[in-house]
Amino acid sequence: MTATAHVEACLGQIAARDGQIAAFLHVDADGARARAAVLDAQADWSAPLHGLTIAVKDNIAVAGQPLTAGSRMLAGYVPPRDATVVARLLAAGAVLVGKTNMDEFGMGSSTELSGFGPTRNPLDVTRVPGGSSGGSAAAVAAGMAWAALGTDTGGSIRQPAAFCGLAGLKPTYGRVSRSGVVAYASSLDQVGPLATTVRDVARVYAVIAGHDPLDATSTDEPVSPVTWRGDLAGLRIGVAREHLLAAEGLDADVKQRMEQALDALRTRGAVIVPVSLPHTRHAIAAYYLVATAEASANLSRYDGLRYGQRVANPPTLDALYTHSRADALGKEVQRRILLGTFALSAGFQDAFYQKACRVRRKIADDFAQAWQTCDLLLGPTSPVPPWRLGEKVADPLAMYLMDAFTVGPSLAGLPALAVPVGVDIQRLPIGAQLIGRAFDEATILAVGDVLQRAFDPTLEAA
Amino acid sequence: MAVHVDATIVRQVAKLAKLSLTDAELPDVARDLERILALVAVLDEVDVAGVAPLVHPHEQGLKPRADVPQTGLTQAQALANAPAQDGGCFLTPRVIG
Amino acid sequence: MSAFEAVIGLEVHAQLLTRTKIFCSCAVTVGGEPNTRTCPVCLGLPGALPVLNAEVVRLAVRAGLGTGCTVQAISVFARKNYFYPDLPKGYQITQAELPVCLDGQIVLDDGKVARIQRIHLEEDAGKSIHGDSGTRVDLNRAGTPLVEIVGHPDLRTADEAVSYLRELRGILVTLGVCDGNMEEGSLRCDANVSIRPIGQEMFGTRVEIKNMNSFRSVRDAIAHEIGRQADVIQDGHAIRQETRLWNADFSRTESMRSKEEAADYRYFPDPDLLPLHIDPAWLALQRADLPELPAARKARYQGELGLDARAANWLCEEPPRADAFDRTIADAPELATAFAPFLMTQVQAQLQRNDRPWPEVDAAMPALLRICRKWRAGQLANKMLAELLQTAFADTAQPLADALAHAESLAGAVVSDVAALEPVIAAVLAKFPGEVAKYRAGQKQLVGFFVGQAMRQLAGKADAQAIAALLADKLDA
Ligand SMILES: [Mg+2]
Ligand SMILES: [Zn+2]
Repeated sequence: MTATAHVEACLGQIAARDGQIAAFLHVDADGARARAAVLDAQADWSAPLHGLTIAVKDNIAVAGQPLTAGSRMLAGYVPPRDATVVARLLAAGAVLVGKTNMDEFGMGSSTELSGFGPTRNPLDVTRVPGGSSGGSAAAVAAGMAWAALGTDTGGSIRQPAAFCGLAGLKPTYGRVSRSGVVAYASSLDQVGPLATTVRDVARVYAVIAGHDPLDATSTDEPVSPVTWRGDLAGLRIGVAREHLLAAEGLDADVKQRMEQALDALRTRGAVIVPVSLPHTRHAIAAYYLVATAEASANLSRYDGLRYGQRVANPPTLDALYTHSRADALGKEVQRRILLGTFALSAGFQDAFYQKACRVRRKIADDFAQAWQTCDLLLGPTSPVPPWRLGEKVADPLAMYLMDAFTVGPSLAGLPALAVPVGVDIQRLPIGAQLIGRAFDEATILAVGDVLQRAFDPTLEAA
Repeated sequence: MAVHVDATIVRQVAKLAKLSLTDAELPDVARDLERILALVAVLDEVDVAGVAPLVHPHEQGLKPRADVPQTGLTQAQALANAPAQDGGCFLTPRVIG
Repeated sequence: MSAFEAVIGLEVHAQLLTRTKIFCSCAVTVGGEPNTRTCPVCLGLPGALPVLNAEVVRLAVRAGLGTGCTVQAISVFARKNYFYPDLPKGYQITQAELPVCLDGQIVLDDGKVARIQRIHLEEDAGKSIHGDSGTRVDLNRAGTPLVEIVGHPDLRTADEAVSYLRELRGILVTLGVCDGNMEEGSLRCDANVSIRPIGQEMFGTRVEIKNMNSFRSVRDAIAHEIGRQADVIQDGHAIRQETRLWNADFSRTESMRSKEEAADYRYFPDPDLLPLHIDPAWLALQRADLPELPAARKARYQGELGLDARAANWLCEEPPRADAFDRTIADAPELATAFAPFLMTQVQAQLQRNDRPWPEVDAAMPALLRICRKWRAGQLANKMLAELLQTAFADTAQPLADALAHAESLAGAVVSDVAALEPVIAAVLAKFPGEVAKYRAGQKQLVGFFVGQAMRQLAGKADAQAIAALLADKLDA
């Protein structure tokens, strides 16, 4: 298939469905067509992503295209340079189709908290697509793009991938450059791919991973290629009791799919090892303090001075600041800024931010302990299947608790992969989460591929 | 640590964060924050005596770059997104004090 | 007033002599069109990330080694959170709990030791230009690398503060850490000043003074502030903890903000920057790479070259001047005691008269040494020397060294041969018989009078030593 034909197919899907789904904030149809024509003329099949369409989450800069991070604060903002990941995709021959909707600045788990309206789940339009990379997940699930880039701070790639029946990888912290990626929580944020299959995820990952001199937290650990496997002989897969047997609020169908997943892996030669992550119940608390503390500083640059929205005719500088920010930032964003500011403030920093950072080490230590007896961990991505639009949006705490299984690997900086493992009784997708050792994306991708094929025989035939 | 979040704390935090809050909004914000702080109070269960804070997931050292200039943005690019500008500068209401 | 003593500590910000900014690759420049030296990082655009400049680390470590600090194996960058138009990210990246250097000292001219608490790295802000219709912000300076050198409150007088600052500046300039230019703001100084009754251990309430952009303003502002605080206390009032700005036009400090509105900066480690590790082997190389520091140089000037303290201090105030002096005097150390005061008095006077800057002299030092040597050898009379210097320094059409050579060629030779001098001396002695009699009666100091009279006859172009010798022959015969 030519790049042009592929792009036209995606644009056709967007035209047909995005009015309802609202996966995109900006579609660059002309740019995508022009680039496809160039790529077809070049016909450089050595480019690893030659002619493949990719949707980019709207907190990742594409030079000359609007960037909002889902916030009305940034309406009209156009970045001057590409994010490193975007430059790498383009160098690999990809075609960018547009920018996808998201919870404002990544702060949400349903994409209902976008400043530009919610995205719907293409598999059931009454449901949320997950978040914050919900637009990216919906775009791929609806066939509007071959793959998408998302960002993941506490689960924002994995959970929407799971909600939309996709594979989605949050790489090891430091593996993928954050340069040009709008920061939510700098010590947690990572860019990663969402795609229909684990193998497609791995293709995009191979292009975007690796050291970037523009990001001081990016590492130069070598990126090892994935060895695809048929069986899993000798592999030890850990299951944390806190993620399955003793998990609070775990949906029965989700639990059942996890057990089937374990059976499937056992059948292929893996050994299942029970482990414990005793601080799982503390991870949400630590996560929300660390993430919001960092966010409170990261979002200070949205002050209405150099870019972004400014309130009309502010009488004083202080009025400019306080009203521009209060008017243009959403309620959840303001709530998190206030929480993070509080957690860092004089008299409270030790008891909140510092304490959370100490607990963060305990959480990382739990994983280190687990690696003594297993090579990777398997559990659910989300405790529940996708919920209905509006169901949880009024209660921020209920939404926070949905991140119970994803925030731990984020705090520890570990790679984690969402893999589709079937559907629930309402035919809503369910995703498993594979958590790997730091910089060992190769193992979770290989096992994820085996797991996805176990649940999807059509892939086996492919 | 259980904290009672009163209007004074919310006002102080909002001032630091440069977010205008009306008096009508204060009680809701205070209640939300107090609920979240009640949730995070679960951290009190964890004994962190002698545990150093973990700030960066992998705790490597910084690798500085070479001191070599690169081309930056033009004045027009720098100001392209500015809500107000004058004479090549970003323009704001007059700063008092 | 005499019942009080002042307690003064300085915080010095020094701009590092790097090519690029601290966290981005924009060139560091002074002036230029506004907002032409920026990039996504120093504009604080969404998604831009800081990457530390290695040269910044090297220079900060040099500053630490030069002031006797302990360089820390691990230091941490932190965010200092506050909103201001010229602070693009809403926080300044600085170092808080774990700075790059700790615990150093500065030895003042009188031997007193003033301790340094810490040296930390940070980024400069941009510039706000306040006008009636609004504030204009230029971010060219944003991200310029600084070290902040925080002194203990060990200083007791305005003069000590100036002495500390001079010594520190000398060290930084010698090390190539900073150009030391206070007027252009590449070296800036804030002073914390309090007073207390003599004999009292506890510190008084301190006031921070900002906006001093010369040594003179540092001295005047601190002296003025000490007096102001004494007046306040003697009037029975308490000192308010506040920040005051020095207004050089009115020679007074003015209240800027009081501490009641003190900000809560919410320092925390910057998650975008990992901890900075300093390798001990590399540090040892840096230590071995240090040049002679001003204190050692002053000691050498006084010990080996025999200069007096004043000339030694004066030379070392401007390290490039001392460098040029060292280069010039290397082959003629015996002239050092003549050359140093020659530069400090005659040459400096010419510069002031003609409003020319010092660096021009550094390049012309070989020519000046040649002239100084002639003068000391009697080949240039005082008056000829003065004329020569005046002519050369007033000539701005050519480099100073060339102007000096040219003026030297015009000066001609001094009259020193006996045949030419004898008739003149004879005429002088004939003209002043009374003075001759007094001289012979024992008033030997009158020789100067006779030399002066002879010089006048010879239009100043004579060898004073030759005249004196001939006079002695005639008068003492
Ligand atoms: Mg400072
Ligand atoms: Zn820059």
